Amino acid sequence: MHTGVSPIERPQTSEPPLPVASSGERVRFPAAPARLEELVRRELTPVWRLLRRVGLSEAEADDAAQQVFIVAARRLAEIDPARQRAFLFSTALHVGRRAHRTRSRRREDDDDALVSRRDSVPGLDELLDQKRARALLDELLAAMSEDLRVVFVLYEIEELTMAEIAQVLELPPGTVASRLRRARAEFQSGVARIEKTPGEPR
Amino acid sequence: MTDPERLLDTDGGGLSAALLRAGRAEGPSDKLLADTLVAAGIGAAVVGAGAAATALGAGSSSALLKAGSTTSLTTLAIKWLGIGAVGGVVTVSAAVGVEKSMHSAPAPQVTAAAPAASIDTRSRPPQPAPGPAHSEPEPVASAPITPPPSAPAVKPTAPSIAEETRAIDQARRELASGNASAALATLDAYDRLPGPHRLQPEALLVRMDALAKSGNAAAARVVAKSLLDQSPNGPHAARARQVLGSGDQKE
Repeated sequence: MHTGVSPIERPQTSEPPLPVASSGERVRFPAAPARLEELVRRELTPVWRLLRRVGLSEAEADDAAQQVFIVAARRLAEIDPARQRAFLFSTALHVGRRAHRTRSRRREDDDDALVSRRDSVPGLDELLDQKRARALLDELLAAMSEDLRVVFVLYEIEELTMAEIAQVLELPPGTVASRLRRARAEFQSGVARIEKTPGEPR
Repeated sequence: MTDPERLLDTDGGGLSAALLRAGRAEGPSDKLLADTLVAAGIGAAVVGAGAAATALGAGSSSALLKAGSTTSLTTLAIKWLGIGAVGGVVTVSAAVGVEKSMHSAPAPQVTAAAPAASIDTRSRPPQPAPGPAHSEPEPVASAPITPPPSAPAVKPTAPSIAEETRAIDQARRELASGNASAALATLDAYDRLPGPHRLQPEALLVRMDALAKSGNAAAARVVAKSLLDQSPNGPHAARARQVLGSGDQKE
């Protein structure tokens, strides 16, 4: 998959190259609206959640998730249906990274939007517990280096297999396994620290 | 590669599991789904805006213009952006800076793609102008390219410069004769041409003017913003700024 060309070295105004089959002709996959709609319906939540776990606010994740699917819509004919999830997650990680870099000054408090989220169906106590738990989770994730965090989130939260993660990140399987091991160790050590802390966690 | 058991399964009642469960439980708003479907160009059924929605599905700006509903303005711009997304109409002219150093191992490749125009799902009221296009082109992962054995190979037919020029000239003529709807329809047809469009900035310029002339100032501003995002110092930047400055700019 690697061409050895850095993203920055690529021509900036050209469309991404289409896949080329062995016959020399460009490969195109079905790009029916039904396929796209099904993709959005099935993968929007995991993509959005991944964006949240890599550190975007809810509003940022909303925007970024839409960008991911706009990209997918444009390139649907290029995306192998068997690997479309990998494409979406990989794109989400790029979009998320860019959102981090260009994060705007607006820092909105997500509390006001919380009630409109799907997980607001439970009672207020549970909601607050979930929010607190997520804050802790994000805190632990933020303490990890990005390469570990991404592998951890994809495996433990999004439940991708290690092979799928290797596909998303274009990494050798051994690297994925090693990062997952280290990420889990860091996560569990963070959890142990919290558990030892007297009183209610922040 | 044998996958280890997930923490949630091994630590069912512990804090680790509680945190992971909370992470898994989170989800976007239902509105985001509808907005994303629209942004991806397939939202007609979700939007359900009568004639406007029908026009959206049919891919006709002019039909939307004729529909004249209160939602048509917003829907028009969204629809156009959706078509832009599907049709690959917008050429990017900004660098995509993705840190190569995210991983010690090789990072996923990225390539440039069209600027996305996502729809703000909470802060933007439904009636006013649709939100501005994003200020940068989105980085895009390389599409997986392994074709299934049975995948049909179709040779794409990118329009020639002559074809592009003809289409844009026609739209210009239609606009000059006062027929903004026809110009928009011509541009829609141009957008649907497969392959990369080398004259996309010119097409955007004509579209912006056509929208402005047809009274769709908000949609014209979205296009102007997109033009500026792509090329803030380009030949059409001054005109785009003029359009942006002519209305109630909302940033």
